[in-house]
Amino acid sequence: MRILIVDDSSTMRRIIGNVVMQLGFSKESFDEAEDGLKAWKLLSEKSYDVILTDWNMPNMNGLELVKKIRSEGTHTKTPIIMITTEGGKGEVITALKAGVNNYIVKPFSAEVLKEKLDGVLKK
Amino acid sequence: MSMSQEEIEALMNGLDISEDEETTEEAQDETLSMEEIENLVSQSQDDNDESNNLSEDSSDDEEFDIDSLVNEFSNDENEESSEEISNDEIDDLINSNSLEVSNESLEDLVGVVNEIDSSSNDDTEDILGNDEELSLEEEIAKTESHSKNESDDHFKNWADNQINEGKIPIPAENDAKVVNQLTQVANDSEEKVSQIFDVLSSTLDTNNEIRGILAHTTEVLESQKKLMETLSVKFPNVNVFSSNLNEIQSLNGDIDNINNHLMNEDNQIFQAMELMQFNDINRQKIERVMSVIRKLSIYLNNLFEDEGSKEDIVVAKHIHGDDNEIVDGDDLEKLIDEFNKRV
Repeated sequence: MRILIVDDSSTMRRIIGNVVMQLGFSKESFDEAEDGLKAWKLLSEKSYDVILTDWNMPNMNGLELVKKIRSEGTHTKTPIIMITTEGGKGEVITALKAGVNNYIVKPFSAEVLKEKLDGVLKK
Repeated sequence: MSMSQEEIEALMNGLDISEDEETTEEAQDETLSMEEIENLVSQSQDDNDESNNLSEDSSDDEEFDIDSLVNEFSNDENEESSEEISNDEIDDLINSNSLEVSNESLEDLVGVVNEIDSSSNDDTEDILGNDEELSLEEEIAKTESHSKNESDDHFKNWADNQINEGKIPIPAENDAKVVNQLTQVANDSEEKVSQIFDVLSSTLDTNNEIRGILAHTTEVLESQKKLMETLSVKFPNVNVFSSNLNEIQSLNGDIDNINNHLMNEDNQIFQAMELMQFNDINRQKIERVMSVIRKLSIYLNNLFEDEGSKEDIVVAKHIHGDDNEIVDGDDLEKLIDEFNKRV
């Protein structure tokens, strides 16, 4: 099982990575990217089972990344969870339409991420 | 307006994409709970075909609206970025304002500097007259340095006073540039939070090491416990075996307590790590403020800019009605007469 964590905040990447490790995954089971461009590069080099991405990032934002993943490459069916501060209804609908499988608003608890991860991994 | 996870879930529970497409604009400011998101996700996936059919017709319009809106925003951003003025231009603007404001103040400054010069000249004469052992060049250098320092101090005090009185603006140096400062705060905060995270991670690692040591101790104690149990059965009259057995059971209880404490401590550290999400949220708030300041800066520059082809108009220094003294009437005639007499 391989997970890709995409967030421009190094703190957030560590927090998410920590929760992922609490779920029983090892440190080697996930990679990190600080923006959409670097994430896309990793996605073209390796295979991932889940993608956890922020929305507001420099260079390529999370929404653009989701649209790109869904339209081209080898991860068109890979589950994507968006973890972001954008909590508006319109934003959630926009993200879901772009192809996000689930949505988490920051700040979140470890339990929420666990539930969402379990949810997308079961499907 | 942002929403909590619960609000998102609650809203998403009753969310039907096809119905909401008509009211998406109204819903922009509403927030969703996590349950609503869940329901929306499950609903959109379970009724995939149906929702696709329902949404295709209307979603085209909505997607078109969103795309056009996104395009508008991106165009606006591009236009704004192209209209940004350089820091040098801002500096020039601020400097020109300060010059206009502080004409009188500059005259005061000239007076102060003249005083310093005259006093430093007096000092120089005194030194030259009294101390014949020092060479002339050394004395001149020393005096110039002394007068320069005094002059700098006087100027600094004068400038500080003028700034505090609001007569001249704060110089546009790095420590006074708002966006620069906010950027620095955001970056420093990120760096410090990362360091705090390192400390917490280190504590978690230490806890894991302690847990490993305790596991090994527990194994040894278990073997000792079995040995003591066997010995106490074989030699029931030897009290030392039974007392040692009790001691080992007590130690096992202590180890369980320590493990529980470690687990609680781990949970507290995980909670602290979760709370550190505040840094990312605050950083984004700061970025929002910086964006407003940049837009405001562009707006103000647009508001005050002129075509730039006209030369600066020469402005009158003393106009009737000003607070400063105006020479007019008899005084003016008297002044002219006196001047003519001298000539």
